[in-house]
Amino acid sequence: MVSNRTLNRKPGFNTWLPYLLILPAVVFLVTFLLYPMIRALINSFFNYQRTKPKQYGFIGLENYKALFQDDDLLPSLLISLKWVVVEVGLQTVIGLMAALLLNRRMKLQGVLRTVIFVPWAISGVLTGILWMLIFDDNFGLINNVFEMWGLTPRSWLGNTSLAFPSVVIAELWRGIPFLAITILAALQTIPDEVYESAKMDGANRATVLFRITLPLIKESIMYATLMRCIWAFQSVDLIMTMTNGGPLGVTTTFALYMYETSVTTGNYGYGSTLAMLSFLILIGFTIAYLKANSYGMEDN
Amino acid sequence: MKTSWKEKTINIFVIYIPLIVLVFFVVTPIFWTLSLSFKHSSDIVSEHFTILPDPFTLENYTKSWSTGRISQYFMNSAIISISAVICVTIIVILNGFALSRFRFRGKNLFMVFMLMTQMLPRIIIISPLYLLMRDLGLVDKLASCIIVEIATAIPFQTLLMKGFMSGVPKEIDEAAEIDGCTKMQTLFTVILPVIVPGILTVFSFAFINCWNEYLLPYTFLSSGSKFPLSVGLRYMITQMSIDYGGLAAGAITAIIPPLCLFGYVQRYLVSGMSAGAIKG
Repeated sequence: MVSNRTLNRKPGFNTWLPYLLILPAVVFLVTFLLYPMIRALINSFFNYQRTKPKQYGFIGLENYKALFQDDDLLPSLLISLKWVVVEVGLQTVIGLMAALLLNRRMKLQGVLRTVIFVPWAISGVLTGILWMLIFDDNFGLINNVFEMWGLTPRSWLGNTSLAFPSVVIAELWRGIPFLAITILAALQTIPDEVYESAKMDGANRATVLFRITLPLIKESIMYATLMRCIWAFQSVDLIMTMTNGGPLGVTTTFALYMYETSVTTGNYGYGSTLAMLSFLILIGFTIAYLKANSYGMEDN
Repeated sequence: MKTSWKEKTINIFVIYIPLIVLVFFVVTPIFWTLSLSFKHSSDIVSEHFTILPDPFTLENYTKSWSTGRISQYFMNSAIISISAVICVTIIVILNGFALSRFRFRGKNLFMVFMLMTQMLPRIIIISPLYLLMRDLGLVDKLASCIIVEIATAIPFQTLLMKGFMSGVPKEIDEAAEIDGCTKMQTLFTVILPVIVPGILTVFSFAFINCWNEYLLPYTFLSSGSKFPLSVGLRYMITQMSIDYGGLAAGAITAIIPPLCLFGYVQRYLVSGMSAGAIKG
């Protein structure tokens, strides 16, 4: 270190250099991520509506009180809960299955991995469009095949009981790769000897899976499902594309309701209050999730 | 070791059938959209249903590209993504260098700050961001999308880049410094040439994310001539009569660039995921 200091021509410059290096990043992050967050907090205490600029002003906790009188809030929160639980549950089970299958040494392993991971690179809007073309009333693949087989075509995205499951399938398609990739990465850290010695002891497949593999990759599954819950809670692009919250609001998640209130309708004040609520929900959920996770660890 | 007949039958049910179902599930929507995109619009709406296009036509591609707006959407997507990604790559190289080669006060704070901003859902800050863009006079300008996409990409691309740079042994720096290189010369002449694959990976990941971005352009941009593909295609389905062939062709066009880069980053996916550096 001493020799370095004498060799570098400007030692004073080198102490400042790391700060100069991170300066652009800090400027971007503070201006476009931190500042909007603070502004959302401030706006949540204001009456701030695009359509009523004259009423602009500080109103204290009025927006927060309004949460309790909002008839659309609870239904959207329940839909979000259903959305996150169903979506992340299915993604985890199928993602785990996919990872276990893709971890086996077999022919075409590389090709199969590429094919199954492809939806990761496809956006929510495009996934929505691809699945709309499957579910479309008149020209969709499913209804055409149904007609060919003599079954009654259904209005998959227009029916109040079919729309939610249809959207879940589309989002599932896009979400499986993330879980599969994360779990596969964890599976690859398990040395072969572990499996070999289990086999020597005469353990069957189910025992190996539940007693050896799953406990070893538990942490990765926990991390991936947590990320996925946060992601599913906030994502709007796919639902916006496929149903835009309809029919009759059965696919209006909390995130979509928040977007409509704050951006589409232009109620920046109350919209920010909803944003603060969702921030609190996410923080609370993350802390509870991590706690529950570590309590589980102590049991083992 | 020989596998018994019984084990082979079990394998069919627990391995091969699930794999086939999974592949079928993943491939079907892409295959069907591809098929629609090559059908004549009259064949799409006709009573007679075929899985494969018959006759095969490129009409949807040529029409949506020339008379439709797909070419313009494509250009906008390209301008936004390429300019954002170039800036991100430069910023992230500087970040990665600072984090992997220097000890400085506030380093941990900076790391925690980045992780927190990475977790922050954008839907929460979208309305203040819109207001900020309005104040800056950037609403309905491509620049609004570019700068916010740079900001969003920084945290996890930095983690990825830091990983690549930390992989370069520090002895190489020391040797270069003994030869009289300054810190910055070391970065550009010694470290960067070694981590070209890493830089390309960061570039590809960032490009896929920018290309797929929807919420920001949908919120900031209002005139059709500024739309990137994500917003333009979403706009096509809100029309009274949807041009299905054109929509399918547009969707396939939009999928191609990220898919090409996906081929490149795929081998880093599994290792990158364990580093926790990849967004869902």
